[in-house]
Amino acid sequence: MTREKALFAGCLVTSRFPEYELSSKLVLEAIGIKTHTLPEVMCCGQVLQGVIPNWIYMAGYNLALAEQNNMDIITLCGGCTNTFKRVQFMCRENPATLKDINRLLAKIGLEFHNTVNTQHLLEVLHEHNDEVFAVAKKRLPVRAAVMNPCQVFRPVAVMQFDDSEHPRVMEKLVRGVTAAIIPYSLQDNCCGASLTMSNLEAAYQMGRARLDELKCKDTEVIITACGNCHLLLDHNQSAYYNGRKIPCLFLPQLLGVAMGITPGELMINDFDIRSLLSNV
Amino acid sequence: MFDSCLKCGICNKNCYLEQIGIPSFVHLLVHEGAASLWTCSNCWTCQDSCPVGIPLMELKWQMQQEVQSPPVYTASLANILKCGYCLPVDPGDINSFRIDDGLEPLTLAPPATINVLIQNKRKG
Repeated sequence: MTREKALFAGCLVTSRFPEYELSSKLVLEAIGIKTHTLPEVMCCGQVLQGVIPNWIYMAGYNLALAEQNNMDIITLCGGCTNTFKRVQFMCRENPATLKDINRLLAKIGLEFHNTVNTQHLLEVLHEHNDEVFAVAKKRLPVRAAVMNPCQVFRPVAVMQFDDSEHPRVMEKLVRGVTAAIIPYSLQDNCCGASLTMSNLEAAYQMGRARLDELKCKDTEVIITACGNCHLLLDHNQSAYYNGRKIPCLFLPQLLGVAMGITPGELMINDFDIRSLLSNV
Repeated sequence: MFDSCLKCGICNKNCYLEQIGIPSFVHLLVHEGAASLWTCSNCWTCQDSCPVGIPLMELKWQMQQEVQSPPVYTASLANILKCGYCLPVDPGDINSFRIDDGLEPLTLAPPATINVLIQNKRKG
């Protein structure tokens, strides 16, 4: 049975990482979930939380659009997931918040009922674990480390997914398709990418600490499931880390290769990663 | 705002930034020392570990809204007003690539919609 959902890519993935959006779409299709990019969606509002109180309207608007299209939402970044789920939580806890959002949405002909289900890609893949591994049959010859998208797990009262202090769902998915998982002390810690907005050196210090440890453990690839983690650990890596690059791969790109989708179709362009996967 | 704070320092101790020697916004609560309200990685560990349930993250954002934002945030707001996304996104530039790659084309939210969502003052 095909299930149709709205794939919410958000600002960073839409502008910089189409490979994450595309590989998610392909992997979800492979397990029977058809996704759509909803017309006229906008920023989830996360980035404006410390700037203007209106951030909540932006989240409400996107959620209402999904409802209008009769689709649940699959998010790709921790920040979007966190923002949507918290606004839905706030609306459930305090009906005045829902009323306030709807007061504004009425001006543009929308209404939010708070019936849409928001899930991060990880949650969907976990929920369909059996279908994933029924299709992802190849075991890839790489030593991989996991970068958990922390905002998908916390605050625990709202997110209600995995172990919020020691998340293991992503590790389980990666373990199923790789030769080895690299355990490391910073695995449960935030990547620090949000700091690129306000304190670049602090962000780089956090990235460096992780890469130092992973390099000592002969990590071949870091698996990410959030545009922000990928931005700091891959896209910006050369700005703060000397020596041989440790490449990153988005989780659905890894799963996609294990499913037999070609690296080209998954937009895996990094030469090092292609070399690693060349004998698959 | 932080009346129920026990000054126990658990938020500070659990903060990943503090653990590698970077004073974060929770440093301000416990030590009242030099730290920036904006030095935070949004990981929620401080709030989840607070023994008296202070909504540290929400309070941080409220405090941030009362002061001048760092330039990147101002630029993000400007981008949102322009295209709906906090980074520059132009369907004219990316839609042909999106379609070639097998993705659906992007349609921006109408400017009037963005204005309604952002320009109407909401009580924080």
